[in-house]
Amino acid sequence: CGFHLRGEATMPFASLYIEAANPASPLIEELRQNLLANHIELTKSAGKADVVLNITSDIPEKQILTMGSNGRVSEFQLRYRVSIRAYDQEQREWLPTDELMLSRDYKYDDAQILAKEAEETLLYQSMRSDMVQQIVRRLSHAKPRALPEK
Amino acid sequence: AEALRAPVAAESESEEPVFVEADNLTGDKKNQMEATGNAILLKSDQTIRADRLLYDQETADLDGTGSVVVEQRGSTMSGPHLELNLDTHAGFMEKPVFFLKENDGRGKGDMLHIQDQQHYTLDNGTYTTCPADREDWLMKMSSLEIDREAQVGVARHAWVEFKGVPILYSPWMDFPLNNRNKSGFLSPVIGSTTKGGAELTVPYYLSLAPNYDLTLSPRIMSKRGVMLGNQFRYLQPQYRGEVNLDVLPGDAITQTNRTRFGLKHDQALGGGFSGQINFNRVSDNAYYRDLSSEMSVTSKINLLQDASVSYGGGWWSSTARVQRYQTLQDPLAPVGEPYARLPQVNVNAAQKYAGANFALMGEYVSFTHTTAVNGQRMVVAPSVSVPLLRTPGYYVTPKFTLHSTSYAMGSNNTTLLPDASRVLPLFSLDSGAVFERDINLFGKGYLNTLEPRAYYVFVPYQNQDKLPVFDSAQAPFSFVQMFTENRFFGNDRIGDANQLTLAVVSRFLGQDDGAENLKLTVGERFSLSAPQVNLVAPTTTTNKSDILLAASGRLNAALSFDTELQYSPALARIQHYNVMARYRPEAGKVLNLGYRFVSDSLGALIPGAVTATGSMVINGVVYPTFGGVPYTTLGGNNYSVASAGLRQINVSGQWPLSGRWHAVGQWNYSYLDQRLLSGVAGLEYEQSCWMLRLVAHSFTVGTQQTSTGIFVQLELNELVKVGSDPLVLLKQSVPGYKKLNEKPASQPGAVLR
Amino acid sequence: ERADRDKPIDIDADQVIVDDAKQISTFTGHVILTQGTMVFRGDKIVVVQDKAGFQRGTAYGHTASFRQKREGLDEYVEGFGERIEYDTRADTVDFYIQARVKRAQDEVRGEHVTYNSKTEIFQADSKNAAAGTPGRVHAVLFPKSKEGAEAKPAAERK
Repeated sequence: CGFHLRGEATMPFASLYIEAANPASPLIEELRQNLLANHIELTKSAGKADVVLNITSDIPEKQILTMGSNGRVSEFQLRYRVSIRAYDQEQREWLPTDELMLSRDYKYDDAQILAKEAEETLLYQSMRSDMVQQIVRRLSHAKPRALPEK
Repeated sequence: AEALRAPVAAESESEEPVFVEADNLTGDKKNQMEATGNAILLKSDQTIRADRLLYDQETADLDGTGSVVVEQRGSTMSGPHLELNLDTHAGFMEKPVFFLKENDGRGKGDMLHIQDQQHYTLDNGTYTTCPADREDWLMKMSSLEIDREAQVGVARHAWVEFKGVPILYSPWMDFPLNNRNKSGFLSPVIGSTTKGGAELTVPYYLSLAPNYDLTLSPRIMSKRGVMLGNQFRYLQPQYRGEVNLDVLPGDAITQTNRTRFGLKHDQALGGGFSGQINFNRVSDNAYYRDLSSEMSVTSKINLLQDASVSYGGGWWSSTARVQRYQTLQDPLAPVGEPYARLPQVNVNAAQKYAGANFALMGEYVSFTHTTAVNGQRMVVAPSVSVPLLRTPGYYVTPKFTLHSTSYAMGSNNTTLLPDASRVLPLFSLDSGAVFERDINLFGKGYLNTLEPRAYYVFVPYQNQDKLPVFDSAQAPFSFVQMFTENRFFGNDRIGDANQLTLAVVSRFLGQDDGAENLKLTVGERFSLSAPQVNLVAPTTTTNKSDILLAASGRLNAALSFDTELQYSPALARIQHYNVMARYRPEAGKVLNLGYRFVSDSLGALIPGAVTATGSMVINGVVYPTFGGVPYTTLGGNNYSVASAGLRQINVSGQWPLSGRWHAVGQWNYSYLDQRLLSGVAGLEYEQSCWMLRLVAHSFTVGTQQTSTGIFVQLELNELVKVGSDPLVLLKQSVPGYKKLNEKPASQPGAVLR
Repeated sequence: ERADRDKPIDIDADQVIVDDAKQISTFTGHVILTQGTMVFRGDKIVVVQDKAGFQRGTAYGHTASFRQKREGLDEYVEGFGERIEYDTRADTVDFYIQARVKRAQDEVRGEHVTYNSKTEIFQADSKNAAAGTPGRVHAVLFPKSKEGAEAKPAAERK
């Protein structure tokens, strides 16, 4: 049926600079580890990198999903929105701006709020690594688009 | 911070040449130049046109007469006469008409004083963001200061007229030139709620300094009296925060003083240390239910009171925290209060060494509670995981953790729990592979993956009934939880396990952009021996494995969906499923459809024959009872019923109607309770420079208690919002809702304003 | 400068045709006419003398040129054009067709530029611009620093 083991993820560039709205966010650290594992050189400055990955927004959100008839929350939805864009030194666009959105639902119970806090942390971690996978996938498919003529 | 460097020696502004074009041009000895016949002068990014331009090269003074137009970065100023110095950019223009590109703001006046390229003052002027042919609203003022650097306009003695009717007066009012900054005059909020009656809030914004501001919001409620809300915000390079203090002295209904205090503070302490405080307190349990009309606020039961200092040292990090909750009891549905953690200190370290990942999780917590047993707990859990095989195609990673916990019990130890301790090894073996192939579906190329994964966990059984339960709860079976070693959240219970979890994920990734268009997942956990540690009354089914199925994807730019289903082979029934679909062809058009089903959650198995001795209603569902215990029969067994589950539909959307009208709505109905849990119905009328919003919202506040709020809002684009603001509600209840008159932010405002 | 008026006129050319009756002399071929600091260059220069002794010269050339030192300033005015008319009575020099006048770094271009060497005033217009051309005048003016010195030498301007 045509399936074969995934080979080495070949990235269309050798070095990358990550420009993040919030450089201290845990997403950036996990993304760096993943890219290093994929033999990508992470430069110190945008100037030296083949491609610049710009993470313009990195927003975790928590919304009420369902309410009980007693006015209490029965399910929360955690959303994680990251918008990315990649371009090179000649300002050619490798990845047009796009927003990746993930969500996880979980049952909520005020009586177990401490345990629910732990569950929330676990869910955010799971979304973060899923987000890193998707970003790396997008980067592996990125290609420079021609310069818009002046 | 970087040392200050001298600016790059570009030609300083005054050295730049001036380009002139005209029908005729005369230059004299004293470097005076006169251009006539639609003369045009260009300097750096400024263009000045006039019938006649007199320019003195020495003083750089320019005098323009006859339909003078100054254009700079899209903004224009025009008038009969202009005097301007091209070096200092200072000057004036008579009878100016100006247009600001940032927010399409337009205006005219008697005199425009130009301090420099970024700062002007208009005398006796008018200002609007409406197009010339349709000036629906207008602000008249004795003086208007425009600061294009801070992107703020400040008007004095300002009247706002809407279709000729004066609706607002303010002696002093500032407003944002781009929509990033908070406007000074926050406009009165008129609304009505069942709990508070008709109400009027007149917020006033005081900018004390570029990085301090204070918002005072007197709120007059017909049924309760006058409440004063205060919000103080501060922003410094090292720390930032917000303080809220709302006081209602003498609530007419409850005859009590009602207050709310909130402090949110974040601080970088340097050297890798950072601190934060998040303290919230209200005077009484019904505070939010009585005084708020926002669902996300009225549903708050536990108010966080938390302060922590953390250290991030690269490979290790630590946090020390004190945390408790103020629990707002609803007499109709009392809830257990959570433990306070006074203090909690945790340490996490991770290091790679000789190909293995070593990690340590350490935690000390002192749990206190008014009635339940208090105690201290110390956890030390070193772990090592060795990625035996690590290739992009497949991996095998064993992990070994030694989880040791010790307790020291404190007061309220009514059940005389001993100062017990527990040491348990946890072993897990995670393995998986990724297969790929290229396929074509409906004419589009996809990379299709098949990702099987096997996760084995072994944890020996140890009786933990004598251990307290401070922060642990049994984790519901989910895709995230199925690949963790412990079946419990928190550290009081370590579930014994001899289980194998099998799962397969298949993704369809677009060849062109690698976007995940479709993701299918199936997973099941097999307990090779029945787990014995439980916090939920054990039934034969508690630890039997369920099958989880999930599918989600973005089929095209407009259509996306997300579904999940959990099936229990032991009970031969669906435990829960949910379906969510969204159709969003473009901004301003979205339809969401969601249905959520959760079956009734079962308690203990009732042995032997059971005959109904009565009945009981839970969440609107009638259950037979046996000895007062509601039960249900499944597969020949009878189980007690803990809750009746959930069957809810949630439809929401935003769609343009005919003309300039847009509809927005939500309908969240619970079939079990046969009740509308939350309903939103709204109409928005969109004009080129203003919008009218009419929104009604009714939602459950407590058992058999609903609250209905009416929102009426007139927004003059880029100036002010008058009336009660429904935007928070619309964004919460209609996912994908777009504020129709939203302008893309031109410059990200660095300053607090 | 004004002293030029009393200086002798020296004309250097390949050929000359003199018509004594009409007092017209026509010089052709790399013609250079100098009088003090004033210099005319062109492919052909026609000089006419009237009874009072005033002369009117017309220089033709792919780009005929004119150069003269300014009064009391160590600075020159230069002018170019397809046709340059010089009138000693009015002390005016008229440049026609792609006329260009440079004074220090400033430059003015148009279809017709008049320069009065006595008042040092120049005027540019495009009244008789050929059809189809926008008939506009252009100028590039560099700011003069306050001490009135000419543009600072490049080195000083960092």
